[in-house]
Amino acid sequence: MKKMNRRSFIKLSTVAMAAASGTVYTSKAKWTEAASKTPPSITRSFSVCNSCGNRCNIIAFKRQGRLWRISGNPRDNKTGGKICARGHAYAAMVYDRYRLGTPLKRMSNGFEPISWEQAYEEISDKLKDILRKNGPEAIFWSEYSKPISNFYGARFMAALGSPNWTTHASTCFAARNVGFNHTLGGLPTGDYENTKYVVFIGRAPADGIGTSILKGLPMAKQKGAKVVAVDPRLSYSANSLANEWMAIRPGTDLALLLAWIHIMIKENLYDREFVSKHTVGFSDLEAAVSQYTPAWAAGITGLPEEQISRVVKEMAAAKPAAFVEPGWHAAYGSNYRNSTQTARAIAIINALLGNLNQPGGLCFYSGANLGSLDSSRHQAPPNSPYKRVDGAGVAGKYPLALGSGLHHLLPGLAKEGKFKAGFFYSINPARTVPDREYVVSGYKNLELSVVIDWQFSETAEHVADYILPESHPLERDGIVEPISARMPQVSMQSKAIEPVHPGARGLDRIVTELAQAMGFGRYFDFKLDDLNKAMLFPLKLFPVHLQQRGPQVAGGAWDYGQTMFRTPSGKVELASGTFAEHGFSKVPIWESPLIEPSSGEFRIIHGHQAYLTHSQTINNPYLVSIAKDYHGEAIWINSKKARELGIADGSDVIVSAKGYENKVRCKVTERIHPEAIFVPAGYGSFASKLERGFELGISMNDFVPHASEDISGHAMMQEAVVSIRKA
Amino acid sequence: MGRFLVIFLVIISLFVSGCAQEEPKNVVPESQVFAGEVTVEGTVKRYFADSPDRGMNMIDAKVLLEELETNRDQYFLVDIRSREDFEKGYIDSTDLNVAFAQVGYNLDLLPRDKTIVVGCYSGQTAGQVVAALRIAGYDAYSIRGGITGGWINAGFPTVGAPVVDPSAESSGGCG
Repeated sequence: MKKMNRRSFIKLSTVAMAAASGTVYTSKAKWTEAASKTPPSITRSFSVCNSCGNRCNIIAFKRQGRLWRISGNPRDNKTGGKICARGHAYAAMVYDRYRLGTPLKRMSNGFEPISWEQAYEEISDKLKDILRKNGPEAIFWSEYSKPISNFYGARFMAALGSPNWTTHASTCFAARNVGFNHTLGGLPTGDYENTKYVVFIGRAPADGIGTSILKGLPMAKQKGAKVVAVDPRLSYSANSLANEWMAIRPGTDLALLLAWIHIMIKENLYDREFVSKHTVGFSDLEAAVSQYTPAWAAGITGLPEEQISRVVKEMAAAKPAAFVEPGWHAAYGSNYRNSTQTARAIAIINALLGNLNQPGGLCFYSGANLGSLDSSRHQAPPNSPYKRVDGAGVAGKYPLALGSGLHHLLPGLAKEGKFKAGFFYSINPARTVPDREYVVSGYKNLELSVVIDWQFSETAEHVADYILPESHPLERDGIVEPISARMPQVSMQSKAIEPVHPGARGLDRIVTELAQAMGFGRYFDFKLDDLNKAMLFPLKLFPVHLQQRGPQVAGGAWDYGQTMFRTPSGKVELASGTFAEHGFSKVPIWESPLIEPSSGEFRIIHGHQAYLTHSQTINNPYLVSIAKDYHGEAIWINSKKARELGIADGSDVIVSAKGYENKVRCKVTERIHPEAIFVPAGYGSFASKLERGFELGISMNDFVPHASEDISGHAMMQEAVVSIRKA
Repeated sequence: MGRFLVIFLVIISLFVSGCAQEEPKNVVPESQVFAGEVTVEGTVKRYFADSPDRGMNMIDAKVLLEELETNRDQYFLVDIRSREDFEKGYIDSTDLNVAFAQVGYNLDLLPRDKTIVVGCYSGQTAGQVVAALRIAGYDAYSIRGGITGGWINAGFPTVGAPVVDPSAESSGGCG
């Protein structure tokens, strides 16, 4: 027998690899049979869609080496295998000619391709200089929240000593989360398929796409459930899913909710046992809402008093299998001065319904119990000793704001000189944050701005000093991510195809190499695969399980009945001591929107469309084609108001506010409140390099002023009015 | 899984019928073999014929250590010890921990474009896994002396708190 040294082993191993011929067939007949059934080389990979924040599990099919099609994954417990138009169209992005394939540097006459080595060297030299002169507080990271960057972005900032890791929350869901966190101790999910009564406040789940809702709600409706849409607009979702539309005045949801609480208490429609055992602050709540009668709410909301009273009684009759849906961005994610208290009021109504962790109610599903890197082997960077510069979590500024910060404040802080360097990962604040001028001119004060993305964006084109190309998620493995559901799962993006642009790199690699160039490589002495193995270790799973089989069950099945809440008191806080400590009303009380439209003005409201949502979809060939074919860019105006203004359906109008105006097509419809115009989000691109959607439609962010709400610090994106005239 | 059962039965029948037999009766005459056809018997024959030149499909722990440091991506490391023993101390790069009896149900997890290295306690069970994998078309090696006897007892790094067990020392797991 030969004993091998390393050299002979490698030599032999290589030969063996070449000889390994794959599957063995026991006869020629079996091989012929198998061969005849095998279509030309189709393979599948399990991955996760990156078209929005839902992170639906997908299956990517590759045919003859090329991405062929994408489907949902039926084994995803959250989506049940359904994906939306964006998920399908996502395949087009892989081979898109607009993808970035090499690092770019801004020169006086445009962007110039440079090597990764040069990019790392110049960026790290500049960062070191800023660290020396201004300290780590002067550096921020801003991202559209994704599992990979939640880890790598936050760790990179910690490695530099910066406290400023930031996500898009303050222009999306910040108020909702703060409201729910301080009432229920977290954000529950609707048990859609078992519910008997659901009220959506401004959320349009078939437009903004909540795949889990769209999976469960039709099942509930088949069993007779009622769906009510409270919305100034009869969205496509409400039109197809809701039994009743409550056409509320925009910004007044809180008044409706306070009246509902008033009625529930006064008419004894709430779950007395749940309230006495599992809540605190009932008497404070009762006292506060005594004034909010249905008649009062009818005056503010414009809704009939009868409808206000009837709907809450119907809902209470269906309890505990009834809920007011927690929403996402919807009407109160980051829209009005009263949004945080609106979220609190919604959480409170659900507690009064006694529906928490009950069948058909709102449930805190358990997530996967994931592991982490062993810090004795992989040194973790210490937490930054500095306070967040945006004031999130800082006494005297925004003490109750989320730890993911207030990204819409960063441009102003850059203008003030408090920030000198910023990283933008998969986020496009130049288009998605109110007040383009404030954002772009603010960020231009940065001495260093680095965009990491796979295509151009307004931020890349108008702000970035360096653009680092990220590989497409289907070209690489991702980080392990939990799927929260009744049967919790874990999943992972798996590499489906060879990179189309070998020059693009994964975020894990980019951050690791940048940290190494900065001299902080000791905090990144592992590969993504090592991290994934550490995360999966408690589940007795390995990355290969997720790569080869898709989502895997992670832990035991969740069951109804749990009554512990992650609040300071361990109970539902109908009155919040924390709010009181910081000078905010401990129970929700009525507060009007900050800005009211005067005669001839309209409140500008916004929302998603099923096929075009985030700013990254604006250049997708298929999605933009749908938008153009069906005039998705059209803003909505009420028929009566249109008549008064002489505006015809399908004609162009001029939308103006405070010195800015723009022309756009108009849809005249009964389906919107007369006080509002609806502007679909995702349009109004001013990135000339994204040619397909360039200057298609308008963006609400050109009309909404920069502002911040007091409690959660969000951007108040519907505190704005505009005027409309015929073009 | 049917065809792997056939493979195992063929292997077992070869052992039962005695390794010394010069001309197994059930060999198909050369003239009747379709040019290029891959039969189980032919594969088994090649397995036995080629194994001595491959160092009996074993890799020294030291060679593996060097390989994992330099060519990590070319290897897929499978630990077939019990989960309990695995957690006490495992090689950092381990790609899969699956008990011997479960290997057959996890063939879908094993890559065909990498060299699979199988480790057990002393090398004996890993050797059996490697034989089956090789006949099934995988490029597989076992760690000489096993993870416990070969790797851990050599003092090579593990994660966890492995207990050095001198009784697991082995001549190399030739069964």
